[in-house]
Amino acid sequence: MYDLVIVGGGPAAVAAGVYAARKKMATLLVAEGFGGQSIVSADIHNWIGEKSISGVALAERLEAHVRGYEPAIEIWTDRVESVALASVSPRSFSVVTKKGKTVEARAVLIASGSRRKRLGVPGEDKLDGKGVAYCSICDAPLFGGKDVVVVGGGNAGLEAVVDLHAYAKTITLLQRSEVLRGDPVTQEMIRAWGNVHIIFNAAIEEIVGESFVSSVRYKDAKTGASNLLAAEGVFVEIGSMPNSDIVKGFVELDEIGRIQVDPRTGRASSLGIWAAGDVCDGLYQQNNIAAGDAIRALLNIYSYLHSGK
Amino acid sequence: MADVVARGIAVSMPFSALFFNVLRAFPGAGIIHRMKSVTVYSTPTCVYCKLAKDFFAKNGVAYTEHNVADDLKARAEMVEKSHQLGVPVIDIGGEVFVGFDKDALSKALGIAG
Repeated sequence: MYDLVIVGGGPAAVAAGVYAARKKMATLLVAEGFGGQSIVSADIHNWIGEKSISGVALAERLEAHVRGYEPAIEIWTDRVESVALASVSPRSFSVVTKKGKTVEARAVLIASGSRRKRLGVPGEDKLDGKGVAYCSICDAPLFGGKDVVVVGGGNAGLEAVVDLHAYAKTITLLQRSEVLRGDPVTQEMIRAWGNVHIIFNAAIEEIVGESFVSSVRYKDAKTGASNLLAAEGVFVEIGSMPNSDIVKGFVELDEIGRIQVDPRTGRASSLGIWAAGDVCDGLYQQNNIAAGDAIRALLNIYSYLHSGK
Repeated sequence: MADVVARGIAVSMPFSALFFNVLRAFPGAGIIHRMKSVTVYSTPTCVYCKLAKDFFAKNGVAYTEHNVADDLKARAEMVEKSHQLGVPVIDIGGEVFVGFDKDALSKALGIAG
């Protein structure tokens, strides 16, 4: 019986893991890998304490930090498939992993993060990897001299434009609303580049192509006109979906599937379950916030395990 | 060789192409090497390529790397093998993997990972 199972390997899970180990809680951390979604960032400028760090370097540091506490904390490279109530009194949970292990714990912290949202338009599945890309830093060099489209005007979309700028001939950023949501610093940078075009109020209708992408059809939400844009690459950066399936039907989720937590404690609706980071219904998805929220949850877990409150 | 074919591949590919790749991977007329030949198609900035290469290094797996950002011949070869443009593409003795899937690669290499 563990005191705590931590699900995930991003900044939230690692922060909680470090604190749990220092508090000598019998803790198991289960993660497929470390670093979270930022691992694909070329350059992170807002991880506090680092003026600039690549996503891979941040992932390596996070992993090294928590592994520094092995074997006080146990770490499995595996994926949690389900969490269920094992016993009501004393309260405990059974956690089942993809590799077929089942463990019991008195408390569970879900820090499983979120995954990329897909467009859900015709052509996207068929042309996935054939011009449709979800990792700009990985695939940008393959689009040298080509016309490409980036979908999404948040920070991830703007970063994709930056990644592609060194290679692509032209970059058209399609944004569903009338404004870009990404950081003004990056907005100003990309607006100054001659080969970047921004189209607002653009709703993607279809990705067109036989064996590879040839164009993108989008609708102008204002005029209702359907436009065809020639492009060989489509980089999709439209946000994320929570990885909350493991507790679906067990704790309360909001309308888009995020775990509802008490913002003061990080507690989910079922006593003994906490959640932190992008899997929760917080307002902002940030590495620093995820780490802080997880630490708050961990401290609350500690007091729950020791005083029952 | 039958062993390799029987395992199948991670992406759909015409049988003839698979056979061609297996032949290319095992030029010694069906001799199965203990260590299969491993080829990584990558770009210099690709995160999952780096994770894959780190994984090979950690497990003492020798591999040949092609930078498909610059090497257009290798890029064409990668597209021919995987029918897509994303990196990394990893060829382990004729089995073609798109992306970095540690479990699948471990299985193909017959290592614990």
